[in-house]
Amino acid sequence: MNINSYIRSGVIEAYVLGVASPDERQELEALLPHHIELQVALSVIEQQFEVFALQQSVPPPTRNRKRYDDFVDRMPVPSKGNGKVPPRGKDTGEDGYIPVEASDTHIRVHKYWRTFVLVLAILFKLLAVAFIIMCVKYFHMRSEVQDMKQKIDQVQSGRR
Amino acid sequence: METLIIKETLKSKLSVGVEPAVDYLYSNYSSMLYGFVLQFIPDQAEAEEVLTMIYNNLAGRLEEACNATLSVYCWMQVEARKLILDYKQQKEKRLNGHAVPGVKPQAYYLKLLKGATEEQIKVFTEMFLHGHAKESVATQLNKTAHEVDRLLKDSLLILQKNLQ
Repeated sequence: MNINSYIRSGVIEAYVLGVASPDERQELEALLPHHIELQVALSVIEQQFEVFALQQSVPPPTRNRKRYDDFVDRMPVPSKGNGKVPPRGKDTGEDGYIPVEASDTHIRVHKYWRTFVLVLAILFKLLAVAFIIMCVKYFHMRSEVQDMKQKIDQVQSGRR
Repeated sequence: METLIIKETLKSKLSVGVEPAVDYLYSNYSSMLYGFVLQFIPDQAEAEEVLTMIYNNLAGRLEEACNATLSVYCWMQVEARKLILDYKQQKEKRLNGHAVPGVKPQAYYLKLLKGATEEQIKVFTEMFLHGHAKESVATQLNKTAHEVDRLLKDSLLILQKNLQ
């Protein structure tokens, strides 16, 4: 099979738009792993259609977001241990929260925490640097005082 | 601005749960899909309902998207088209065979068919936008299935050329 004429036949476009016949789909999926130029052509055509879809995008009205959120609220959530997925709302406590038993070691926090932690880290570093400078100055002055005391003692013992 | 989601991102969202994955897809692709839906269903209120129906249906099949040959968006678009055509067919049945309002001329992909012959546009409209089978279009146009297939492929090549 001449892969270049296959690419130019329009089969890939039909595949991307979902109008390829089952035989054409099977053939393309069988050929893909063996022909890098076919993979590249598919990827390029997909990107072109995606970019076009992006250009033609129309934001759905906000009420659709509400409708979608209602749908998400109706999505099943896992319950404790038994593996069953009761509909949302049946397993909620008096406070309206769903008791969740998570085995994940990670937590998710609000993005403002990143700024807060960064500011805190910078403040901590500044304080640490200031503390070190103060310590150095303190020890330096203490050694100077000791030197002066020694000199005074020497002068006093010399007079005697 | 919407991002073109790669499968790895979707997989990582799915590992957290279906809800964040669907939410992520809605945030990124709902505008693109809504524009796509409007070419089949020009009525905005109805198109909104269909968009919700699409997300409702695809929510349970996101593993398929991760394993598909197509990119996530293209997979969603192909599956959305099937659902839209199915919805229109059901609606036609409810209306006792009366055709539902048609597609807007020069809308979405149709405006990319500049330079295509009337036959090519007709075949594209019948097969892509109305979901009619190659054989029924061939009968309608008094052509062979092979000729109709060639007309469809030629229209798709023109469309793709105009995308560049």
